Amino acid sequence: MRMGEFMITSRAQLHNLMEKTIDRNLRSMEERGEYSDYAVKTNIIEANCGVEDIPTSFSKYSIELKPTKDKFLYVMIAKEKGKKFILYLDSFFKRYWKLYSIEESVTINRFIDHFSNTLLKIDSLWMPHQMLDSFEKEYINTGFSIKFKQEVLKEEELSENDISQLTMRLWSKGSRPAQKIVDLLQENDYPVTKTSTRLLHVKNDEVKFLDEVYYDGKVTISKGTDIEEHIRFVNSIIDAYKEKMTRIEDNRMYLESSDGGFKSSGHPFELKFSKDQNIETLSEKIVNSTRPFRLWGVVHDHDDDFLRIAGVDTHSGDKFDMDLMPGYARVYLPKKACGNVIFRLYTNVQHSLDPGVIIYDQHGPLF
Amino acid sequence: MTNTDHSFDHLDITNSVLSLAYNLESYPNHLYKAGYSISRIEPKFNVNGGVNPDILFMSDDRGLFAECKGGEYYTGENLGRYDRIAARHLVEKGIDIPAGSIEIDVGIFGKENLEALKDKLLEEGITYPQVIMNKVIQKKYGNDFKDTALQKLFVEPVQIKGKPLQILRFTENSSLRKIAPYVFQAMAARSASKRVEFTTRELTEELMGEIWDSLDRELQKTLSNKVGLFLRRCKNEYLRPYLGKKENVWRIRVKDHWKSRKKFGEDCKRMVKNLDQTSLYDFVYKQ
Repeated sequence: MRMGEFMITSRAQLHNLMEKTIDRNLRSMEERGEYSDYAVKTNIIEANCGVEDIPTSFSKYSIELKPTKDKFLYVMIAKEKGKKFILYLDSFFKRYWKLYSIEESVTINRFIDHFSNTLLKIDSLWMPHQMLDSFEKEYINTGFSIKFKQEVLKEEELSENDISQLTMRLWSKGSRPAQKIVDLLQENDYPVTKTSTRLLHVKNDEVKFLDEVYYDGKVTISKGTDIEEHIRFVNSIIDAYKEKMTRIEDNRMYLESSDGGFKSSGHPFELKFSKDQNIETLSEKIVNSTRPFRLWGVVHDHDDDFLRIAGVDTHSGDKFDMDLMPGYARVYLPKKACGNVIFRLYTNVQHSLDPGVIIYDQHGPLF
Repeated sequence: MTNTDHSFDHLDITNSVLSLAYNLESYPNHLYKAGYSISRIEPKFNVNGGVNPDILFMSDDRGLFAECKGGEYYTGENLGRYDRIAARHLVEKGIDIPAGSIEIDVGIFGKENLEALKDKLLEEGITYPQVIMNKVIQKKYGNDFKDTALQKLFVEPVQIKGKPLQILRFTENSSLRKIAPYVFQAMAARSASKRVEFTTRELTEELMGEIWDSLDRELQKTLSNKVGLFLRRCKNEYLRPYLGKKENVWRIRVKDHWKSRKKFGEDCKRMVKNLDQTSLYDFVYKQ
């Protein structure tokens, strides 16, 4: 496909382009056993800024935004070392942008990685495995990926029964085999921290889409006949994330003065580990400013079984406080802080420390 | 608060009592279980010359005043006046009365100091239920709570594993060790969000959060001066590479890279280690 074909001026043209690409790929797959074009992908971005705040250059990229007839839709022309590629930025949902693309996955993944990691106030989604599980209820689950890698404890600190790494990719016909494998893993205390799930939507014997949803908000289309169904599905992911985000941000803690004294609002999040942790090792890993947590902090009020952290989410510049105990962590979000830090923290604790961790707010388990 | 070895930090006790109203597993949640939530912290009632309880908790049909005590001898003026607070006084303060008639309990909360204070209270005829919170939480002295749910929960000893929440972070009397982490946190947040220039007052306001505007002007000034002195000390010690000041404006410079942030964190940690338990008062007046 040439560059000109990628230029669109309206939402209808974008839908048309995506639908044609899916259709071409489907036919090519049936005839030659391979795709003719790159798959259609959507990346959901959590943005706490306006489109106008996106810098024209960052990392090794320069970008140009071309408006379309649709107020919220832009053609994003990105350049990396002279190589041009196109994405489509849909900012209809103010806080959750969608970046559609029909380019090579490696190029797009690298770009999204820089876009969501380098820029202040722009983050990816961080969906814990329970959220991915919840999408499976509505569709046929034809596979999943599981990835767990112990990044906090060293090999010698693990017990005989601890799993230090488990990566799995499964394709199945129908939901049953996928569910049986998950049951088997759970029965044997193996991590079931899904990082993606494949969902087949069939309506009136017609495949509406076969999408794979990743924990970071990427959704790829493998098959489909109806782009609207895919877009509706992506919007439902945004709705689910938004609902959790509202709940998280309703727990932000602050004091305010009133006539009758100070009023206190909010509630801390409590993470319950499935087994006791070494709080020093854990705090060093969590607040060393590196990925995936991207948190900075000063440890204080420290004794054998307790420490406090006065921290900053380096991704947003927002503050947070944390108490660490062998069995629990408590996280306090202050007023106006972005709730995505809770998603990021919890999901990464699942992926890299404790797959059995549970997070609670005042109403019970959050996920 | 007295300065004997047996006195405890009032802020710590207040946080311990406040924490009981949260739905936590990592700390006892007696008040949450009994249906209470925090209504007001440090309310002031115009009753017979003024009553200033530490905390008012409310449930669907009841109230609980908590008096936090850290010393062994001083009972304070509040305790004798609680009985005079009626629903009308709550209404005057804009506090919602959830039921037609409301019964109010008063509880005295403290640590081991209550073992000595109980006698003093008895001498003065104060018989409110007294709850000790050290390694276990239990109502040991005084009358029963009027609310049977509270009585049932507090009468049994329950082990306290972790530390309480930090709802109130510090006061002007807190040690530098307690305040310093939040000063570093505020500077790191500014650096990460590219708001690198600030005045001492702006930073102090940020530390105090939403309650800043309600603080007395003199207290605002005192706190600002103390934070300013601490910033100067940071600039002269481990944070020299990061902190600068031109006229009245400070500037924080931490490179936008994880290694630089990590180094800044380590230098903040060295700064904290260097501080002994001197209070801000000591720091300001004994330098």
